[in-house]
Amino acid sequence: MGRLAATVCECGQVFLPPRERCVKCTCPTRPVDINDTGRILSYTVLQVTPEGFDPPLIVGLIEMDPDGECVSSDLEHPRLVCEGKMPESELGIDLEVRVKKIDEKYYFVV
Amino acid sequence: MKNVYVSHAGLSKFGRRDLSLEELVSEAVENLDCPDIPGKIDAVFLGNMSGEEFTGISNLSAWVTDHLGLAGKPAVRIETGSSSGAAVFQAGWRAIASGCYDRVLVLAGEKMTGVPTLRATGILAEVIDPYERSCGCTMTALAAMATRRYMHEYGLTGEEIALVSVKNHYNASLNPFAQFRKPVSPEKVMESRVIASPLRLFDCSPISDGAAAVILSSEPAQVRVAGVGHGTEHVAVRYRDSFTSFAATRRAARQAYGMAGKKPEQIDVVEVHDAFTPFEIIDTEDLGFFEPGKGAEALVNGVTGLNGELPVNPSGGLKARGHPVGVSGLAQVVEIAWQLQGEADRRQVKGAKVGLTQSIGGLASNNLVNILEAV
Repeated sequence: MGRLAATVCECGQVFLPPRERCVKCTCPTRPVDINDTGRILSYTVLQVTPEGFDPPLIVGLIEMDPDGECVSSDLEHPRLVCEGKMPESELGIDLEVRVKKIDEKYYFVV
Repeated sequence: MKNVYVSHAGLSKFGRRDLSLEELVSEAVENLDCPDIPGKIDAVFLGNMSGEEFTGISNLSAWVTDHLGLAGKPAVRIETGSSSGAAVFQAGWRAIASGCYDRVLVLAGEKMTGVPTLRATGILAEVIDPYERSCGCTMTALAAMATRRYMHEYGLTGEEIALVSVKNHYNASLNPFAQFRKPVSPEKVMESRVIASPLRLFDCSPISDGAAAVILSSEPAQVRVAGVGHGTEHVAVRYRDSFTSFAATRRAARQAYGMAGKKPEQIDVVEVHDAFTPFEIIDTEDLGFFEPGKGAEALVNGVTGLNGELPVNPSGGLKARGHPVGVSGLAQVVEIAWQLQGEADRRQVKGAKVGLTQSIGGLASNNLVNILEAV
């Protein structure tokens, strides 16, 4: 299992990609490492893509797994939107995935 | 606060038009059929989302006011993404309710077809979170993910979603101002190409040119503004608690119902933001007409049809009337005003006394609700 650099606010919010200030309470956050595993909350396959992307493009909303270092109950499941690198036929809601960071971009993989 | 009334309401024809932004607005103003506008109004309010990028013109409120022969009047432009038309209506309402002005001309205009389609969708995507955009997300992609999650949670099917498009295209076939005037079959919707799964071409509103105009007044007229509401939400969808309901709509609705002293059961006719057809189902739940997950059942049973208990989008909605982005929120108000005045032609909802509009800005990050009442 790998780790990903995220940030956490005192209010319990975890941010991936990291944010310097909390989106809920605007407090400064601190760095935290979180597990790189999660599950697909939703996804789409774009057949019409924006400039710089080729179809078919997989994009998903991933809920990361809870992590021991994160203190609060509220958002121990940070959510991440990112591109998917996996076979379209295997996509499914609740599918367990791993998130990788390559060249400053996040991708979910099986 | 003073009472505020809609005394006149007008539209341009929607669609791919060979007219400039200011010419579209002129067409809507002519449709008001109101003599001596310069002598009547105190100020001009213009709603517009992305005029600079679509047309290359800024200082749009002065530009449009000048074109209308109204140079000299105070003029301001309001922008809240794709709900700008609803936001400008509320700005005009506040100006009169506060006693600042007695009569204002509320306008909305958007000219979208002057740029290539890929450029237009790029401009539209600028309303979403920059990080999420950097992953390849478009408006359609985020709407598609919300739709898939909703389908998963409530068992909504593609066949049911298609019925929104079928209903709204039928309604638009009765609306001379609509972009699409032909009914479509469920098969045609289901056979249309996938844009971002599960959304197909016929689940998405078109790129459109159009304009709308309303005169608001403190003097009693046939239609009164009974309540207004406005709410925002995190722009990034990853920070939201729910993906199958829009909190900004719920916040706006709570305020509007509260001000109007009305309940959802008292609404006779509704215009909602169906930029993506599954949104119509979500919207009707967020507005309190149906329980979460029950919106599709109402659609399938004809409750939201033109002759149903609660007609939704009698105009054809954004899907079929067309969606000039900064205009749709005001075009909804125009449709409801016409419905309450009994002037909605072949799509008239019989006995409509109270109507509601709901408009979404961005991916549901800046939403507004208006309630109008016949007096």
